[in-house]
Amino acid sequence: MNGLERLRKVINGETPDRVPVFPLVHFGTAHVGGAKIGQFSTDAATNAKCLITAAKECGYDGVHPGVDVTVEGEAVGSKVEYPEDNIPFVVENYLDTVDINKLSMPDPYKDGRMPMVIESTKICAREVGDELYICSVIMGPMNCASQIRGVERLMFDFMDQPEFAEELLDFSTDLEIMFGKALIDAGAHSLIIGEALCSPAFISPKLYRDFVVPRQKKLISALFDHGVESTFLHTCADISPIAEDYAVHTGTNGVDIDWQVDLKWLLNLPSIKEAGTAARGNLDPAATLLTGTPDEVLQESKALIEQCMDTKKFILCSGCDMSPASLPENASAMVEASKRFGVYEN
Amino acid sequence: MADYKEIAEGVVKGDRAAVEKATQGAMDRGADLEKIIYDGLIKGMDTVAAKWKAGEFYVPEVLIASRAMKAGMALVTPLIEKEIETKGTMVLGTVKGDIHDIGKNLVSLMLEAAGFKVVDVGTNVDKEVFVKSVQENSAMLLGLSALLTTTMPYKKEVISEFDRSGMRGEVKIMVGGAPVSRKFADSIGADGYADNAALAVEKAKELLGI
Repeated sequence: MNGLERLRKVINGETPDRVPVFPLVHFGTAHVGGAKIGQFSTDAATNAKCLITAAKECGYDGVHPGVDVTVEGEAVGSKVEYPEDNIPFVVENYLDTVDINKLSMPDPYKDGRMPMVIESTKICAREVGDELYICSVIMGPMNCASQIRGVERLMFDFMDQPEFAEELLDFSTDLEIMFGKALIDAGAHSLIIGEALCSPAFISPKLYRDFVVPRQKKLISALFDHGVESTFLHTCADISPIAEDYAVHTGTNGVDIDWQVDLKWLLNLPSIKEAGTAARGNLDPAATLLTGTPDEVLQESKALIEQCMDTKKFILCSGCDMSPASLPENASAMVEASKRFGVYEN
Repeated sequence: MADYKEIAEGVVKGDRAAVEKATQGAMDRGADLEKIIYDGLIKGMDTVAAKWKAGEFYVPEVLIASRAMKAGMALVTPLIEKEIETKGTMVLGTVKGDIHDIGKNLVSLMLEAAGFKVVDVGTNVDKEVFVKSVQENSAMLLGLSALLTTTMPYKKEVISEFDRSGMRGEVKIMVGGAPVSRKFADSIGADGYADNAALAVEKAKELLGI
C-alpha cells in the first residue's frame, strides 16, 4: 500500500495497512532537497523537488505543495520580503484603510506567487500523484484577511468596526475558494487550510463561531463541490474549547491538532466520531521533533499510535510545522514508529 | 476616588474615549498623578490580565484595553517629573528571522503594567543586539520571542552568545511564543517559560525573587 492509498483509506473510513504518517513539513524540506528556503519559496520546480525528495527519503505519505502564509495577501498587494534562507514575511500590509473597495480579486494564474503554488502542485501531481497524497496549501478566511490587513489591525477591526471585518472575511473566503479550485484543477487530492489565528490562544471561541466558522464552512463546502477529497483545517495551540466547531461544524473531513491537545480525547468525542473527521497530530514540534533524538521521537510516536490507532481516523503528524532541523532523521523516526507499532491486523 | 474607578473600568472595557475623559477630569480636579496611574490605569490593566488568565478575555479584548490605557498614560506621563521606580529592567525582542510581534508586545504591556521597565528591541533581532542591550540597560531579565519552528533554534544561539560574552550569570532569560513549551525552554538552557503574557509577569517576579 502506498502513501496515497493509505491516506485515502483513512479519509474514506476504511482500514489502511498501518497508521499513515503525514507530517507538516514545508520549509523543512528545502535543505533536504539542497536548496535555500528563499529559493524553495519562490521557484515551483525547487518547491516540488524538495517536497518530493524529503517525502521519499523519510518515507512519509504525502507532500504539501505551497509555501508560507503570505501568498494570498501578497497577490492582493501586501509587500513581502524574502530572506535568503528563512521564511518570507509581509513587511507592509496592503489594506491600510477601512475601505473594502480598495480590494480587487487577484487572478490565481497571474498574481504574486499563486501561479507558482499551482505549478508546484502540477509538478507534484505529475511526478508522484499516483503514490503520494498531494495536499496543497491555502489559507482560511481569517489568515488570508490578516495578511491583507495586518494581524493587529484585524484584531482591532473585530472590536471597532465588525461590519468591515466581516466584509474583509467575505472577500478572503471568495479568494480562497477561487485559489483552492485552481489547485484542485492542478491535481491536488487535498488542501490544507491554514487558520493559525483562530486558536483560542488568540481569539475567543465566540468570535470564532460567529465570524469565522460560517465562512470556513462556505469555503470547505465549495472545495468539496469542486471535487477535493479532503480538507485539513489547521489551527495552532489548544483548540479543545472549539473542538466541535472546528472538527464538525465547519464540515471539514480532516483537522490538524497541535501538541497541547489530548488527541485521544478529541478522536473519541461522540460528535467527531459520528462525523468521521480524521485528525493529524500531534508530536511536540519543538521539544520532541526539534531538540529530541530519533529514539525519543520513536517512543513518543509509539505512545500516540497506541492511544489513537484504534479510531482508524488517526494520522501521525507533527503538532505544527516541523523545523528544518528536524529533518530527515526525526521525520524518518515517525515512519519507523508506524511500521513497528502502527500496523493494522486485518 | 470615583475618578480612579471610572478610569479603571474604562480600561477594562477598552473604551478609549471614556478613559481619556475620566483621566482628564481627574487631572483637572487636581488628583494625584501617580494615583491616576496606579489606582486607575494600571489597576484596570490588572483586571484585564486577570480576565485574560481566567479565559474571559482574549487577544482582541486585551489589545483594545491596552490602547485605552495608553491613551490615559499619554495625558498623565508628560506631567510627571520624577522617575517612577521600577521592579527591574527587561530587554525584550523577537529573534532573528521572525517578525511576529503581538505576543512580544503583550508581554511588554503586561510587564510594564506590573511595574517593570521594558526595553523593546523589536523583531528580527541579532544575538549581538540582545547582549549589547542587556549590557547598556543593566537589565536583569531578557525575554526572547519566536513564533516559527524555523526561528526557535535561534534562541539557543542567543543564550550561547551570552555564555560566550561571560554575561550569562548576570541575566535571567525567559522564552515564549506559540510553539514553545517548557520542555523546549529547559532543553535550550533558558531560565523561564510562561504559557502567556499574563503568566510571564509571575514568572519574571519569581526569577527575580520578588
